[in-house]
Amino acid sequence: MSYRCHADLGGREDSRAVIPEAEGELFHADWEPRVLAMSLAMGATGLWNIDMARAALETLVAAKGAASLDELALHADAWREAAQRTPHGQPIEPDFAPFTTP
Amino acid sequence: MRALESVLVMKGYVDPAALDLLIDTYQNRIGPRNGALVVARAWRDAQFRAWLLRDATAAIASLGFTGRQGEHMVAVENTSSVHNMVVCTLCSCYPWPVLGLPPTWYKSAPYRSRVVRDPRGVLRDFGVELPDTTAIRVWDSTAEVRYLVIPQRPSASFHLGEVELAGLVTRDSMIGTALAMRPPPLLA
Repeated sequence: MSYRCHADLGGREDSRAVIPEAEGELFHADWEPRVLAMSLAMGATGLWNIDMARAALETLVAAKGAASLDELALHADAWREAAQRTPHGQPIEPDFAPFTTP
Repeated sequence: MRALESVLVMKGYVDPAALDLLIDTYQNRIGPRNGALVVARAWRDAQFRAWLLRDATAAIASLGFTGRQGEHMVAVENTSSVHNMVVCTLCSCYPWPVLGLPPTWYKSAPYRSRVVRDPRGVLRDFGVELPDTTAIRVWDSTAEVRYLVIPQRPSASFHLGEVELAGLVTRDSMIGTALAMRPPPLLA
């Protein structure tokens, strides 16, 4: 199994054109400026920070019953372990066998 | 989205007027006209240009442009032999105080993936063709460091003042996907 990270897009093959946009074209729907302002404003309250917001997103799978937090942690550990033993530039291949085979 | 806003307002976390002010700020106050002024100043003032290239954060702050997503600025200068382009291959890091909010294409997968392997192809999408003798340097932004491209000053612009020069500096020319505009021809 090869893994390609979907966050780091640099150098990935993509044949689609880049579509230029006029300078004044900022928002594309009414909700966009309100949500931008709300996330900036709530950031300013200090009630949560970006890591807490990310954690909320990351645990949605458990809140929605798609997978338990324990299962999520097992996957996170497998990826962490694989990243640590993989030389730089090589594909990171986690070993899911310990918790997928009976 | 409206429910989220009204509940946060009711609980006293946000003030709708403050939200309006934030939107107005990014719609009308913080945008690429700020960066254009920085570039025009650098074109006209050799000392400012040297300062900008040495310590962009401080030079830009001297014009009043500071704040989040621009705490550590680096200015890179285009010449006839080098053309600079800026990307964030990981997400959408962008120098907000000088350029405002990033355009959609800057955040898109095709730009982020292709600009590092085929920058000339990306430039063609913007209608820009550079000579083979011009090297292209692509700078990948990080959570901390943000880049501002200083485009080449167009020829026949010696007579223009700072405000007129700034009018030639487009947002895209400060990301590196365009060149500065040519000035209108002088009347005979």
